[in-house]
Amino acid sequence: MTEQNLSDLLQRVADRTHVGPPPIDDMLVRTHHRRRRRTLLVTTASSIAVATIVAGAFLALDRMGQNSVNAAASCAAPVLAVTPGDTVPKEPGHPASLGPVPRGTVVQVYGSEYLLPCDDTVKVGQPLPSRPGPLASVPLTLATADGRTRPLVTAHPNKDGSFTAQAKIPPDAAVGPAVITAPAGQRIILVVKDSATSAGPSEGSPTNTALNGTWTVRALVGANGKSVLPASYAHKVEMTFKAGKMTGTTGCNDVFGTYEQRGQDLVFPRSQLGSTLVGCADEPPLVTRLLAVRHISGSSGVRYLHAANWMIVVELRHR
Amino acid sequence: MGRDDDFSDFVAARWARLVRFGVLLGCSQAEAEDLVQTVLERCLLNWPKVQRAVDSDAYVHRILLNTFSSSRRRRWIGERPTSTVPDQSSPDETERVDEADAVLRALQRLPTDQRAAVVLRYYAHLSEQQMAATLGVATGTVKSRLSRALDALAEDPSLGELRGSR
Repeated sequence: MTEQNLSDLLQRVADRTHVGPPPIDDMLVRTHHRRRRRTLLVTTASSIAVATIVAGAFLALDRMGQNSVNAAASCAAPVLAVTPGDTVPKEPGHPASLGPVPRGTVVQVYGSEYLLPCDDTVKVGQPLPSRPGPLASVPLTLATADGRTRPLVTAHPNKDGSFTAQAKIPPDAAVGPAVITAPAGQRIILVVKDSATSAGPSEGSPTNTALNGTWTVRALVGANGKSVLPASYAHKVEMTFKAGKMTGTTGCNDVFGTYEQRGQDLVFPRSQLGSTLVGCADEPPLVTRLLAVRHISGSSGVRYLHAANWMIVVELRHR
Repeated sequence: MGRDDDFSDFVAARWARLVRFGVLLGCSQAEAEDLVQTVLERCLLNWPKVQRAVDSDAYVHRILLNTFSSSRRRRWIGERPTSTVPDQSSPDETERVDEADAVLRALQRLPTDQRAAVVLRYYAHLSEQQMAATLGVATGTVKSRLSRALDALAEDPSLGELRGSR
């Protein structure tokens, strides 16, 4: 069969098919309907996309605005304009029962990056040894959005002669210089000591240093003074002390070691300290920080493990 | 002249040939008309593309072949049972029917790609380059498909009987 034959054959077979006139009008109508539907669909999809983008942008702006309001109000950036050694002034109009106590010496400030609900109470204080020397006079006040300055610290005497101070940051508090501020959901802990008894521990400040038992690590502070305890590990880090041996968990790995305590001196020998080696994201460096511990102090239900310079490294709460 | 007018002229010039092209591909006449309508409506939706195409016939044939392949892949191709047979009486054309039946059966026995190549080359009379563009393959592939198809048709018993009767 030649190509010409095949071509003729196909032509004859095709010609046997009697084809009517093309339904052009029907095709035009259907196509116009389809084009309209497509246009409508594209318009609707575009509108939804634009609305979503605009809503997202508004939401983002709203959140940014909320954050800036928070930053300008009670829950602003963690600016803590006091340093160890600053003086906590007496609050005007403070209850007389506190007597001379409300003047204290800030000997340690930490945890400025902790979460603090806007309306939460800032706990200030544990009796800790203060550093000797002249005290700078930096009032711990809070400038509020209404332009008033509010005293930040109130104090309550402890039986051991120290005091615990508390401050409540009102929701409308704004930030000014030389004030304590905290970002949304952050907690600030000040450690203060009564200026009247601001001598060091060697001068007889009674303190509770017993470690036996199981403790939850409430705070873990890095060498730079910032928290190294991620929020995801809060309440997961624990330590148990018994007869010179320490066991615990970072929330991911088990830690173990020994400790040597003499009064307020406390060390974790490097050679005895170790942990399991499961890899976890953001695991708090508990073992590393324990190596920096040299001192201990505390009161009922709370223990502070300090570095050589008395900077708090670990805050423990009794379970 | 508007788009609809252009389209109407385009369809009027090609409708019958495209429907017959569909029949040779293996569709019934009704299926072929549906197929060509679908193809032409797609062309109208993208009419600027058709106009911009270097070879608008090759472009339409390509859409037609793609649509045909898609329709053959579907399990249900739109047929509905009916109690009324639409056939009508007609003069006895047994001999011509035999020839058409033999050719169509021979084409049906070819693989789809070879069948499309034969119909494009010997019915639509596209060149090998146009066929390559239409089928989306190389010119060499077109040649080999045609060669295999012609070999198969030469040995097809239906067409053998046809040749014997001539």
